[in-house]
Amino acid sequence: MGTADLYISGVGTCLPGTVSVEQAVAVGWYPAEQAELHELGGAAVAGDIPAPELALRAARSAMVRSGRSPAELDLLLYASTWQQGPEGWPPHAYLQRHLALDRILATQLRQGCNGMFAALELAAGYLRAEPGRRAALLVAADNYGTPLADRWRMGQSYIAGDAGSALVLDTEPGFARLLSVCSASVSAAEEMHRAAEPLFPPGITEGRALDFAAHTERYRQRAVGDGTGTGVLVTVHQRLAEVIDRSLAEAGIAMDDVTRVAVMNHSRPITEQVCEAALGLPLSKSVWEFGRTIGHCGASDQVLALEHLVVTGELGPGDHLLMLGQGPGVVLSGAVVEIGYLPLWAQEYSAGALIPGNETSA
Amino acid sequence: MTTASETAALTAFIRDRLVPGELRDRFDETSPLLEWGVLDSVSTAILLGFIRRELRVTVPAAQIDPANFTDARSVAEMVGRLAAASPD
Repeated sequence: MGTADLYISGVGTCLPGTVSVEQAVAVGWYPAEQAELHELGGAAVAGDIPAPELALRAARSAMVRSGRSPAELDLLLYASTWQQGPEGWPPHAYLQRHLALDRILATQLRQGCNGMFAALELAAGYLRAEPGRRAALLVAADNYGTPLADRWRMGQSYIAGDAGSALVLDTEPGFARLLSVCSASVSAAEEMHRAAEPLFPPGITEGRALDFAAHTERYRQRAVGDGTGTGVLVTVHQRLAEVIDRSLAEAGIAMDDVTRVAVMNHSRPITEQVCEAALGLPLSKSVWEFGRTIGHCGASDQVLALEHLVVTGELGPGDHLLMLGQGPGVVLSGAVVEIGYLPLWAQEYSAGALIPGNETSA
Repeated sequence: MTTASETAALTAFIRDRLVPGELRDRFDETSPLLEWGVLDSVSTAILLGFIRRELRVTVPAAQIDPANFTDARSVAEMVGRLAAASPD
């Protein structure tokens, strides 16, 4: 979907301190051979700060930066990948309560690590659907420091980090323009994220841990064992290439116009291969050097990257950020953001006056 | 580069870099890449990167079809077709 009439007026994050891979190896949380293979640096760890609180702090920052008051927001979408609080309780209500957003549509999105892309696409349509709608608040947050989640071992090529992220998608000009956002799926591969356990009863109700590494390995073993083969994984790459082509075409730019690319915070070999194979770009165009220090933060990686690149001056006016996402399903998304100007909060950060995401957090 | 040399280069790369050790001895250009599970998410990216870097061919989305990745020979044939169609 081409979205050149929509802007990002504010972005905010809540990124806790990190635990290094060296520390994790020393205490036996993370295997030394994995550290050598993946070259990851660490993970952001929120301790006992609830995920909705991470979301709230990020949302407050994004709202302050956007200049939008609660009364000027028309939609709240909350993306998450892991447990947020008591089962049956909606975490977006926590934000509605604390941000005075009761009069607008609000809901949670469960699209795994791709959730922020779904939020962008849904919000774009929602804002355009009715004249007079002004802005949408999109947030994502997770804290994996819980029972039944092992941040150091749940994935084959990443470490899970905790974070909150938020942005305000706006119909009025902001510091960046959302040029395009699009998604596609390969549902034939949906088993890849559930293959190691039955559908019923749901794993969490029986105390089974979140373990994508086990699902992926079981899926692969089964595909080889029963002769199905792994062709569907080639199709995932095909769909990714299609999403990239669409994102760029709908944005009206070419690959040569891409200044930086933000993908999920995976291992160096994976990120390198995705950049080279799918994009024809060197690793230096990615945000891996930043991402490796904080871990794969659920649906927040790309917004964290956007803020990081803007406040560090690595993206400036006229630059384009290509954001790519992938989640269980398998769903793949792409979005292109064009930087219009360096916002005041980024200038203040560059001058050493602010720490991203902490202006409003208590 | 001829299709024969592309086939040899691709077969060698896949055998040395992507095929599990226990299967290497019996791997050749007609070995099934998908049924054996040689190509998964990561190894497909590695293979596409090799084709782009070493064979100077960018595989477009429409060609990243499982039918073009059944064995090393089919990959080489696809690369040959794309090279022949390239203006360079």
